[in-house]
Amino acid sequence: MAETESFKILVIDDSPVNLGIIKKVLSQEGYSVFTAQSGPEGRLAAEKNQPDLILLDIMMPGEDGFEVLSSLKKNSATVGIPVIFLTGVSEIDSKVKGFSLGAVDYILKPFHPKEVLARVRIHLKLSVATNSLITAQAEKLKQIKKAQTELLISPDDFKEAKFGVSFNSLHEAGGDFYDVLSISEHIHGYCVADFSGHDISTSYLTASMKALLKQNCTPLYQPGESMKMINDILVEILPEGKYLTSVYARLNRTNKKLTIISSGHPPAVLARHDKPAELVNLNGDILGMFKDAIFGERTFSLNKKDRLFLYSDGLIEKNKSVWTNGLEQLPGLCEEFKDFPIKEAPEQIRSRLFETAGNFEDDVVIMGIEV
Amino acid sequence: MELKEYAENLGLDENDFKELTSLFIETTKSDLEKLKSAIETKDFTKAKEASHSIKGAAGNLGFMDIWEAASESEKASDNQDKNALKQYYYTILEKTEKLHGLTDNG
Repeated sequence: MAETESFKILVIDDSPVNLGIIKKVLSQEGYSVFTAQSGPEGRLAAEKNQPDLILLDIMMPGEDGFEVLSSLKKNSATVGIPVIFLTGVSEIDSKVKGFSLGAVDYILKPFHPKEVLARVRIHLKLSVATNSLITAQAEKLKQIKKAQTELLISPDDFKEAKFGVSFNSLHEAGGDFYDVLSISEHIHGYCVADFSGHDISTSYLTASMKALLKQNCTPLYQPGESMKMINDILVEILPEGKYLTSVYARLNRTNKKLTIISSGHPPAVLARHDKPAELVNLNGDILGMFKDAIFGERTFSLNKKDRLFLYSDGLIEKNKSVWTNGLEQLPGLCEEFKDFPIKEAPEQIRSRLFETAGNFEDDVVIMGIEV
Repeated sequence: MELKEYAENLGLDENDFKELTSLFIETTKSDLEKLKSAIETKDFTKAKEASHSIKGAAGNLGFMDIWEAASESEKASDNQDKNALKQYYYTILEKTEKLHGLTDNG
């Protein structure tokens, strides 16, 4: 709600005098007050005007206050609006019933206008505090997602690396990460990593991973050496219970040599232009757990138009059937889309897998690289 | 008691209070008509409803003498005591008329 806008209070009471009193008292304090003289009228007004708070009389002819309260709490449009009910001193049971139906407070009748005002103020403050907490948290998460997305390089910004990517982050602070590095004019590094968990700390870690790749993947080091150094730092900085799997590929377009380093990551797909696509099973230890980690490594001599596909385990994890499905279908799909530009192929593969293997419950990255 | 005092007790402006009192008189007269016919037909449920309505409004405006009479009238409905109901009907009518005088003069 904008600060200049006044709070809206809906009063539902069959007594015109009570409506009049409450309206006068609240209006003179700057609230905008809507009134309804029956339950059904009140429910409609609540849905339409979206008040910040509702004052509801219990004893009304026709639909009584309990029925109204219960309907308000069942309607997604009104469930979050705090309700204070008005009840007579003799109606002892109604207090319990009112609370059990979801009211935040009650006011005994006959009421004093100042008491009404005081209770309205308290509950508006509580409601504002709660809502702003929720909004602030959601806002924070949005910023993180934005920052994470900004960390991710786009194929259009790095055309000489000849890659395409499909990145689908289902979580505000996702655990998936990819990066493309320029090691020298004709040598590029490609990395897909997957952190355990999707909480806030994960998003800071993806930023750290990006920095580590930049610092350690240089012409001075062989790919295996780079990953070993990154591992040693991650062992120091990762919180307990946090780890990541990653696959790192270094492609030299001058001699067409490709080296793949796997750290506990699912197999990459090598799709040569004139041969059936194959899974590159390399295993290797997970990153960030042990100082003396050993990674899977293999080097291939490739030809022009050959492709490599890296992906995150969101594509094949979660349940056995999807795992098998994804893994079985992946090489075939990489072949099937071999005539699609490399920029588009990952997205095509992803949408085809979605069609056949069902929805994925995790973040998904698919990266395609062409020699 | 003057209307001004009632208004001050409730923290309301005198004119606003006068307006509410007029509204009260209007609705109470209509409730009293219902109460009268309920007494005549011995419809004690209706008598109770009318008494309850008067009681609620009177209490919230601070008209405690009317509130008391209406509370008694509600009990008399529960007891199906026609004679007592007549008594309270007169009391409420009389006190409401008095209020009417206050709003006219004030």
